[in-house]
Amino acid sequence: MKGYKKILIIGLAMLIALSAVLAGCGGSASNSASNSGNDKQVLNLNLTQEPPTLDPQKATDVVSIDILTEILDGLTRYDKDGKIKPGSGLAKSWDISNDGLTYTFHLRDAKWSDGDPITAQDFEYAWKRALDPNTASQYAYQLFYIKGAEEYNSGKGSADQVAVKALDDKTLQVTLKAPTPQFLGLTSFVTYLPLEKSVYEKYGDKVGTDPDKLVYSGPFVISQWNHEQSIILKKNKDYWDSSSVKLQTVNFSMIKDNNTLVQNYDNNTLDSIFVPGDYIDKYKNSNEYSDKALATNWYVQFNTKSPVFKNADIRKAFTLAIDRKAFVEQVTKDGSIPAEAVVPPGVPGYNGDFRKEAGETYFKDNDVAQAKELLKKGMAELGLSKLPTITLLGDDTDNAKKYDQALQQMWKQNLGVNVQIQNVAFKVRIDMMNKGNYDMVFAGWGADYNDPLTFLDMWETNNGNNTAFYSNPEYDKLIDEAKVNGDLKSRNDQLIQAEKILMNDMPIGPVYFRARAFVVKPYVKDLYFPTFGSDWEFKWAYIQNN
Amino acid sequence: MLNYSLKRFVYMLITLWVIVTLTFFLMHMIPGDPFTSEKKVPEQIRQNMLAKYHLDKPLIVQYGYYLNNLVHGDLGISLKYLNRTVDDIIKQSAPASFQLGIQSIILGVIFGLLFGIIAALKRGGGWDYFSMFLAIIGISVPNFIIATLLQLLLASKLRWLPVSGWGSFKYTILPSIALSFSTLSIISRMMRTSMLDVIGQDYIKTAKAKGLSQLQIIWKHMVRNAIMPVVTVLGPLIAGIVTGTFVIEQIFSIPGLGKFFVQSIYDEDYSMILGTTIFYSVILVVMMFLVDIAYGLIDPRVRLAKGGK
Repeated sequence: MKGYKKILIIGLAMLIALSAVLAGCGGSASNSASNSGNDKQVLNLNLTQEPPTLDPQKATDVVSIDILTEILDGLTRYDKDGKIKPGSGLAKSWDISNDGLTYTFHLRDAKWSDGDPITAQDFEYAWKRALDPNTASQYAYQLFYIKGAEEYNSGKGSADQVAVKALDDKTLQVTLKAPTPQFLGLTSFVTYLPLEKSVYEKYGDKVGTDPDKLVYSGPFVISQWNHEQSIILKKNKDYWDSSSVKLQTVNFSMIKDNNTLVQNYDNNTLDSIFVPGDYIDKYKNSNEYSDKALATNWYVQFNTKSPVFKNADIRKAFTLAIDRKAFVEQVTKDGSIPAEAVVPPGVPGYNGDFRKEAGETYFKDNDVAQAKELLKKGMAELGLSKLPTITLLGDDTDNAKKYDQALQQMWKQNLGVNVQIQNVAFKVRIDMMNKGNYDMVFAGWGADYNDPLTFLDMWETNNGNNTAFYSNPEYDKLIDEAKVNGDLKSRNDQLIQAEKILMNDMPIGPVYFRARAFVVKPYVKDLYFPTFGSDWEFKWAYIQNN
Repeated sequence: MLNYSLKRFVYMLITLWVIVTLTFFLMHMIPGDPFTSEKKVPEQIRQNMLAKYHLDKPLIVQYGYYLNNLVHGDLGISLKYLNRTVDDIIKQSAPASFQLGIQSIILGVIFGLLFGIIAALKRGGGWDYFSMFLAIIGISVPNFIIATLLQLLLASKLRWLPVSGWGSFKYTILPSIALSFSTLSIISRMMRTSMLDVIGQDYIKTAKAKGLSQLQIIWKHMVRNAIMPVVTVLGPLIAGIVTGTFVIEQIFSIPGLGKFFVQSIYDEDYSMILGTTIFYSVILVVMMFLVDIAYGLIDPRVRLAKGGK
């Protein structure tokens, strides 16, 4: 009995203590909120989640790429306008042989954060490490443009046969299998980032798991990494271009919940956020709001082996019956652009924007009359009087469900077709796509590099990503030729021609080019949002009048 | 008691083995694998990755590897958070879930008992309605709504507390309160019911007749007898809360273990799925074991009955 008395007394005491602390905390929190400094060069952003790995040769996801591109410099770095210029990264300049195959990079004098010089050997070492089958790097294929790379990775060749060589400390020579116009851009990509051999030898597979298990060559270094909670970047004083870097600190939180994210922005805890779809209306009319097209397309992909969608007219009918304008204005609501072609705007062509060079559209949006006509024609070709049950496969996120339902509604309204929806977890969707276990799927593709080829070569007959199982020999020929064509003008023409064929056969029905809505506090200057790769570029960002 | 405890310990190990085995084979039945990704990699790269993590071996061999590592205390490497071991991740994230869980249990138990006792003593009065109103809210309103409301009011509007994050004690207050609501509801309702049962008993009348004060009657006779059913539910309740809840951790951006438990299934991060499942199972089984012992300590009849078996 005495025991209970004690428990209750302790309980009450704890309760009183808790209320006292609660009251006390309230006061201090409100004080600190009103006490913000003037023009402290501190930027607060949200990373949404923990980076899975900061090992440059193993990273594949955007969150890891976000951090890696700010802490490591590659041979090149995209500038504010999204262009690669000599001297933008660790390569001061480069020479390209007349056949477009051999690149010789001349490195600038730069230091790792541990004081060691950054050498050509660090690149050779890192690239070969990515290709080493024992590293099991998922993105090793990003280096397959290099002669001997694929052979080494598949165990048919050796590291010595990979045509990347440090001629001396400051000269790196690379020979490619075929002319690759996007290669310079690729050298800024994470898999191509350098790694100091001694660091890897010291930490092994633990590289990039903690701030002290990596050395830095980029504008920032990691000063603190509280797993699942926050990452704090500090300016890298040893960075070769440190005079361009004004920010002293970048704080990353890892907030996943949309409501919490928005509240943190409103509370000034975060200086910029990507606005979740449901909150677009809240910010749309604010001067802090912008949206920007990304190099990403979303489309309805048809299984060309399915009994119904093996027919091109039916595929076209389903594509034409979508009201894209309504879709982006009423469903995505994030500034996305209706897509009537495959390659998104902003991707470079021969001498400007590929989209402008190839033509903006291949068909009319929401062309209901034509869609009905084509459906009738297609069904007659297949000898069908009634369509069998058709299923649209999609992800199980709230957004995906909303998008799928909108498409379902449009097909019902415009074609009179009842489509079933099957929402599954992401990996299950991918597995079903790979196995051809679907009729239609709503899918998207983001650029691997800034070139139309990244959106087109996936539809070649034997490409692993061609889960529509589309096959057209003429298309394959054009893409194969474009891949090795050193004449950039004719290469561009081949890609335009290929896109035209694709939109005629229509294994995919384009729906929208994705844009991303964001808000930025007015005191944040020169924060850039690249169209592909990382979410931000804040090398040049600074705080003014806060 | 020793015999009983030993037997329970062996059962515990068998239970865990069954859980590991079922989880292992069930998770391999999910379509896809940890390296299924939107951008398909060349087959050789896929093979390199599968080989590195022994996923190219037959399932039964993989199971053998896993059990062997497990008995050596090795939970393996996460297949999503490459280069990080499951042990490390659990060690880093469990303390946050623990702290949050313990605080919310303390809040829930104290207030739950208090409200339950007061409601029973003031049956039909304002206090009774108030505490039952709270209990109904706690049970019928999902805790993420309570969390969001608390966040909006106390953090966003009044700015007394931070909206989200983790660090000092002040970050734990809102999530603890949000998480404590369901415990509070369950305990206050149970306590009220069992107190009401006790109040009408003859021995209470006897106590009154003996001239004991009201407070003495409540503490010594009512609460002690009424608390038994409450203790029974405490085990699973504590296990459930201490291991963190995905939703609350997500809303308040807490670096706890809850999200790994849920997210690892989506990621098909095999070693993480197994690691968190084992960790949670151990806690649950141990908590139930402890409750049984506590039960025996509070009520000697239980101890004797179980010990005798």
